[in-house]
Amino acid sequence: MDIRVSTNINDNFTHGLSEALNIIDQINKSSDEEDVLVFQDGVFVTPLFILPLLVYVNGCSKNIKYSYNNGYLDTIKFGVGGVKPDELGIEAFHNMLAKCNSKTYIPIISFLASKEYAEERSEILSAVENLLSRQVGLGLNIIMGLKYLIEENVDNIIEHSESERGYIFSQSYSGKEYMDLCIADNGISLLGSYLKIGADYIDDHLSAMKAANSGESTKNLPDAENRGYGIYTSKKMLVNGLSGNFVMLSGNALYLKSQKVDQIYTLPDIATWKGTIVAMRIPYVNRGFNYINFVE
Amino acid sequence: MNNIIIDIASYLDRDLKSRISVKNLYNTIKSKGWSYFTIDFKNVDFASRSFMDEFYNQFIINNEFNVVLVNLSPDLKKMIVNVASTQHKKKRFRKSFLSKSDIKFESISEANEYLEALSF
Repeated sequence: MDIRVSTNINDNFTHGLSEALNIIDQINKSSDEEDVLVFQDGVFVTPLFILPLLVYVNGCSKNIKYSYNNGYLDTIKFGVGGVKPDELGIEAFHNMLAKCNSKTYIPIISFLASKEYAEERSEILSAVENLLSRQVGLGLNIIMGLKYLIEENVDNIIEHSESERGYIFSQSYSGKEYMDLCIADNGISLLGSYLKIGADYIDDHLSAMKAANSGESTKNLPDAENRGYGIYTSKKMLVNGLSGNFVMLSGNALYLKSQKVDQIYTLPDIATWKGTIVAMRIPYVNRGFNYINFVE
Repeated sequence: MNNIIIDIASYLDRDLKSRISVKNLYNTIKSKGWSYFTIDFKNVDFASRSFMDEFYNQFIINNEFNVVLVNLSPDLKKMIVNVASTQHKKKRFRKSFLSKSDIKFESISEANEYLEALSF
């Protein structure tokens, strides 16, 4: 079945997710073995549309194809699942990012999540952070916060997800002085991570989402409580320090956090992601912000 | 005698990011057979909490090593103090979050109706 994608996503941060959910609904209503997402010309999309859709399609039992004639989707490498620096070569990757200096986005970057790839991944993420900083001229205090938000969330992928790859994608909005940043994986989800350690009191995606956001780590040392601070401090830094918005999706559990909203949701079973997605709306003009004040 | 100085930025990066990078540094140092050494942070711009928590456990409180840390910036010092203070501390944010009630959507349209009306 051809599924037409014609929306233009508005300023509401979760609008992108709503549109992704609409597509997921149509995929599930289609009885065809293969569906084609047909993006209309001029369609405008956001990170909280693109990565949830990509992760859902990657984990979908059906064959989903894309059809588009859209420069932006082409530039961000949506159709091929993102830029893979390990396949492109690190020098070519740096050259490609250099072409984005004057842009407001980075392409979708699909990086290897294996522990053996640590050095290369570190270089890739540094290049991404430097590019994001240059694109909108971030102050040093915001750069430090941005690094913290990226590195803590990527480290969760490396340590817990068992995903072959992680994804990072960002779009900045200079007129509004914020950037939308999304980090995702196609791994075993929060629930899978807890089940692996035999946490039998966590038996669905909702309870896994609650546990992860309450600081319950799957890897604490015996008799220690040292882990599980990454998500908590990231949220606090983003929401309290920068007045930003935090979204986490894992399986069919959704969590939204802002200065006004703090709520967990269970989505219908058809909207179950095989992986975990974190999206952040990051206001980037705030002279009084100091990331270290939010680290416990 | 401690005359081995490790410029950690040259071994890892100016940004110290991940737990696995600490483990890699540990393996490097073990393979060299060093027990007494100085780790110099002079070229470090940033460290994540995850990195510092792992570093704390692998190097600072690890009896295998006798380590001196030099040229730590105020932020890095504060990060070490923070991770040290939370090694055995019960998380005060845990209980309230676990008891949080959720909203369950029966359909995508119900979820979208809610999300579209939400100011977020």
